[in-house]
Amino acid sequence: MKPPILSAHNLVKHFNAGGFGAGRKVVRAVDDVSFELAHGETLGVVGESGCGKSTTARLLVQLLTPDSGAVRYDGKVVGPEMPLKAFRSKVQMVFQDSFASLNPRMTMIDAVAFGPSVHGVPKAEARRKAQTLLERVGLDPARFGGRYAHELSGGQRQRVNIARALAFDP
Amino acid sequence: MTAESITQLATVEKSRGYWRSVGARFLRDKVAVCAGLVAAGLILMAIFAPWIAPADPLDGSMIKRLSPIGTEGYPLGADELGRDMLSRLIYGARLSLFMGVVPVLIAFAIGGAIGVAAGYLGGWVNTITMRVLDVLYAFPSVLLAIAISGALGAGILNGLLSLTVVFIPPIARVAESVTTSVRKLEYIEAAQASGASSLRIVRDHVLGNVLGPIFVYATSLISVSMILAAGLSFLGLGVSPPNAEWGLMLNTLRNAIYVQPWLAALPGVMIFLTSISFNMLSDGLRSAMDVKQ
Repeated sequence: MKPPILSAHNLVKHFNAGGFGAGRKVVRAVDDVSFELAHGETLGVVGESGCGKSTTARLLVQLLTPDSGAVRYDGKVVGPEMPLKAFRSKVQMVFQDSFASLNPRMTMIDAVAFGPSVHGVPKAEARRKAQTLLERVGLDPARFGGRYAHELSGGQRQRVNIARALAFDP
Repeated sequence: MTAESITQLATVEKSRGYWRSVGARFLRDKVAVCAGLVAAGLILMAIFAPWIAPADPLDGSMIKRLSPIGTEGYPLGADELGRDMLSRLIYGARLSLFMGVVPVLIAFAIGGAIGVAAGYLGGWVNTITMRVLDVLYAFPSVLLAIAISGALGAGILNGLLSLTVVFIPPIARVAESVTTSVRKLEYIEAAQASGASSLRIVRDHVLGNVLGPIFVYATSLISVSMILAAGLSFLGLGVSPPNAEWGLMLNTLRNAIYVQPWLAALPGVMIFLTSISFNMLSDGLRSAMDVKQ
């Protein structure tokens, strides 16, 4: 059996839903979730709306801080043993809402090139990489690279989101 | 990287940018364009006042005092000290527009920065900042401006300061509200997931999406600022005589309202014209920036 590349250990995330003292309401979005993923494995999480799938994904990419539990990447605990910036160049998320996840004031090529430029890749090189990735997801960079999110269809936007996630070589 | 893809970099079709489409939508709105032309005309009039004013705005003649509109050499009459009204109205645009635009610009910079920071950081920083601003916001703007000007004393700089303080809370509130709504959007989360620092996210993703609405709101405050500044001058707390400023002119000419009502109304007409043109301009900008998704 392959060693896990990404693992979640007893992740817990509760949200305060209002109220004080004894009347305080808590939404237990994620409660003691653990799993392991090896290289090349795919894991599907299925459940009804509001059951905590997106919260689990956000905890995995550290967009939310878990109340307890830990995420390990390649055996290292993210945060104490692995810097967040290094982890984020390895694990990426493709968001559900293709429109809301793209900056309306950014062209598609800039949206894809943003990630690499954050990690120190020179702007021209980041844009070249963005072009290659747009091609890889089936969008002609010459035609779609200079467009804005509202000028693309939902499917095209989601492909841009996939290209953006791939820009880190995760 | 292949030579082919490098060539393609130069041939990416640039879509019509957001601001260009805002400009195109704005130009289709005839009322907003007219308002913009009037506002631009007033600004040009203020800048080139020494070249276009027919007479010295401080040079009076007692025998010409309260001359009616159409008097020879005084196309818009003469005020209570016999000074040419047309020249004083032209020169008055300088201080009136200055007192209308500058406090709003300073408040836009300070209030915008406070609001964006509070909105982006959220949590207790947001709560403390906004509650402190709410204390100032609770005072009616006219009363607050009069109180600050009264405490500091009359003068252009003190008037400017009091108006700036008055406009910081509402601008900060709008900036905080817009930033809070933008911060919750997934493209901000995507930027965070890319490992970008908070400053970079604010610079590249937040500012571009919030500055427009804040600016439009600030534009609508220019007319309020002008009216408040005119009010301060009217009460003797803003610009002092013999300077030409529309609010001050309205104050000094109020005694002549039964003798030369049209003459006394002229500074009010200028205030009305300026404030309505800036209001319509901001309405036009708001509509033009409303991207249909």
